[in-house]
Amino acid sequence: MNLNIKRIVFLVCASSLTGLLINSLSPKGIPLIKEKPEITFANDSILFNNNQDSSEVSKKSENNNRISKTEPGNEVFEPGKNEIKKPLAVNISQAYKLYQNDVLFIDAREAEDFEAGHIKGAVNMPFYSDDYYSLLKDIKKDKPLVVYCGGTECDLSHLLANELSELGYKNVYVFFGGWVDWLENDYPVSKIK
Amino acid sequence: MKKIFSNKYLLFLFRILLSFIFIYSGVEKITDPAGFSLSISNYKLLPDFLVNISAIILPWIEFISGILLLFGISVKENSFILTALLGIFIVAVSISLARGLNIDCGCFGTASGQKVGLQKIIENILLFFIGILLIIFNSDFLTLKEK
Repeated sequence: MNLNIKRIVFLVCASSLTGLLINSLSPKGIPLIKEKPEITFANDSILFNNNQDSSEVSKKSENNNRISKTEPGNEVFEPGKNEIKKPLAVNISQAYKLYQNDVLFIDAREAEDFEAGHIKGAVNMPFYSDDYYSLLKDIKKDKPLVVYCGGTECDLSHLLANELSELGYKNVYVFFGGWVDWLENDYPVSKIK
Repeated sequence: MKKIFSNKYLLFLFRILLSFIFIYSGVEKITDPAGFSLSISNYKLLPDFLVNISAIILPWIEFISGILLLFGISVKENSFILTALLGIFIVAVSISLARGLNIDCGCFGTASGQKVGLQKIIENILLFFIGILLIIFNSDFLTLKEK
């Protein structure tokens, strides 16, 4: 089986280098080392005080007033004016208190997971589909939103929360423990039959 | 048996099949590196720092070896590369199945919706076998060769 090993090594190396090059040039390129999402928990005073929004206290807070109201998908990029706020995380007890305050919960998982069981009153916005944009039209940008997915191992809640922040939603929280924690505590759930 | 498997038309067909599958697979992953990186993390097999590098490199190995294979360039070597990849995939999918992970296999990008399962393992084993044949018997029917 006369295989030219040198050629194999060359091909693998050449392909790898091509990949690295294209990745660094491409707008869709990803970092070489995966970044862990930073989790900063919101503290209770921010959560339960209606006058403040959920972002980390920004030094350029005077810019907050100039953020223009835009529809999802129609962003106008204004350097310095559009501050992307990192959504803060909430733990199970904070999430439950928010639930009791009738805050809207968003399930970032796929439709079949949502249908099998979800937090009572939650709305499904599967991160990997684009259908949910129509649901967003009815939601005001300053309405508090709690995004969750399968649990601590699941990235969908972060991804969706980040996207909502980028769309201009100012009060987005990531419920880090997600569905798993909710079930463990026997909190209200519903399913689509 | 050997006569059947060393038939040049069959080998040519196998070569085309393998190359198309990997060209398609490579392109789907190249166009969505973030998605493929997510698919790889779902397997929970690689340490975090290797996930993205693999997501960047692997699709290009698939794509380039696929293209070269299609044109009959270094058939044995490219078949070896793709067969080795298949071997890795078989192991990865098997481990996930054994662990009970219900994840997207990430075979043709995230949107393909193909789940990890026995069917995927069998498909990969068949392709692996085809790859082995190409390594052993080569395929020089209709190739791009410099005269």
